[in-house]
Amino acid sequence: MLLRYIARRIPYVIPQLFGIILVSFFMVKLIPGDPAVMMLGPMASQQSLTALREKMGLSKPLWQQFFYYIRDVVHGDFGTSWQTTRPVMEDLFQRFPATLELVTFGLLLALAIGFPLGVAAARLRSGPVRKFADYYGLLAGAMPDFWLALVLIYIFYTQLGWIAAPLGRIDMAVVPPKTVTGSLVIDSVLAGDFEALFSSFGHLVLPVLTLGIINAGPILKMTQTMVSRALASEFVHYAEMCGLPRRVVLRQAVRAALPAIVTIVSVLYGFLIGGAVLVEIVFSWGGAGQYAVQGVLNADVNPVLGFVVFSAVLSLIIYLLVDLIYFALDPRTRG
Amino acid sequence: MDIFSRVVFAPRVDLAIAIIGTFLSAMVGGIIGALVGYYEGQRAWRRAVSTLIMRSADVLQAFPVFVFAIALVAVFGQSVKSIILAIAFVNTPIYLRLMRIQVLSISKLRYVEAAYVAGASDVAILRRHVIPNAAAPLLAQLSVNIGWSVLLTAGLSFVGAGVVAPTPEWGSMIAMGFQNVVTGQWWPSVFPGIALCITVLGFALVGASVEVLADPVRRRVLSGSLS
Repeated sequence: MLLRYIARRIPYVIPQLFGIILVSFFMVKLIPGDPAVMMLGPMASQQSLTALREKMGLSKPLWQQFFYYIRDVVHGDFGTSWQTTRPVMEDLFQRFPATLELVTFGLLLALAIGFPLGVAAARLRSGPVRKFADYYGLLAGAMPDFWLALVLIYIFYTQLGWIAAPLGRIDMAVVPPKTVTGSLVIDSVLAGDFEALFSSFGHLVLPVLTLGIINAGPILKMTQTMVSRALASEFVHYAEMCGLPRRVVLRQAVRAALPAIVTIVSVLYGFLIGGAVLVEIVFSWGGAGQYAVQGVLNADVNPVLGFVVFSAVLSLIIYLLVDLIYFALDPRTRG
Repeated sequence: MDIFSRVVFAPRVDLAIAIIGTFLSAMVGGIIGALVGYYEGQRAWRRAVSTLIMRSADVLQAFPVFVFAIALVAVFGQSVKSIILAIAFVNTPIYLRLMRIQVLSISKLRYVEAAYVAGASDVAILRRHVIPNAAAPLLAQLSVNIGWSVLLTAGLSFVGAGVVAPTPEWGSMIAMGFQNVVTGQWWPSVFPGIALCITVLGFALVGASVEVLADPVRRRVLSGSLS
């Protein structure tokens, strides 16, 4: 079933990926700034500039460069970044896990805040919990995440001193654990290295808190809307008339709302892969989004393109997973 | 530099960018969306064009929004005009989709058919009968979107891809105070952020009210409770 489903998706996915690469390629190439000049510095001779342009294929017409690029991507080569002087593929494989760690834990926290509050708000017409949920939903959507990150740093680092300096993912003095999943926290647990676990966890707390607090807003709203809609529907009235306990009725309503909540979480996940950049910058996280932004600001083409392709593929995988979860949650989709 | 006066002056830049950008995207997205929705069920080449437009919108929406916006600003050159264009570009697919869905259901209604039978041209039908009836959800979206665009503008300026330093702007003000927060000077960053929150919150509240007012059933409940 899964294979058939993937086979049916591919005819849509390939043109879309091609379109994404096409648009981003020409857009990034339009950014003013000559990589050759930036690599060699302003003192470089005309000769060496021409030689480098020739070597990088910059003297060829754009469409030819595009086809070379596509050819390389199909072979798994995303080019080199002139800022890090490393292959983009390697850089991305190092940085994407950092972003995924941040986003995954952030969204888990957001779910832990937003889901129960949303269910509570849907069940209650008034009272302090409902009021709190209403205001929270509005406020969380209005706060800029990079600003909240700064406020949290001020409170927990500068004033209270509870948390390590907001620089990177682990203390400089601590040896990072052997890479298995790419998430430092999970890797430390796997390696049984408590010093690394303690340090990486300490660095993870504030950025995750930031993302969790902000993104709980949309999850709360979606949960509240869907659960209250389910509570007003006929199958719930029927369950109530049958005399089922309130807890059981509520559980049925929540179950009916689950697919929509899964959708909003997946949308947020796709958005945050690129959208957590600001939080990454504040905490010097060294994630993928930060890498791409640096690329754009320095006319470094390959990292930007690599990032766009990677995140597009990732969001496709996420949507695939979501469809699988639908199969499990919604009996109507099982034919 | 005096923080209070800069915080008070900044909305001139922030709001102008967000409002103009959002209106641009609503105009362009709304018109294209109406055309696509109206012609989608018709003759072959028009359907092909509609499909093409919708697939292009898919591609545009598959981009990571923030990186896309930064790249657009970099392409157009760093200026207020480029930020407006970038915001308009990023938001357009949202309105395109909203309008298309609305028009798809409205253009099947009887009064549109009646107008067609009466000999009205496509343009007249769209302008007089379809678009006015499809506009309500777009209006609700507009307000929320302006708030969101303010946040995006501030974010762009925060990474140095938006409004340039001497012009007061909330995002770049937060960025300027960023390094000093760690050493305890919180005020240069915190106050512009609070102003930002209040602004976005305001637009969100307006959006929520428009949504209620645009829905006849909920409006009746509201006015009943008021009278």
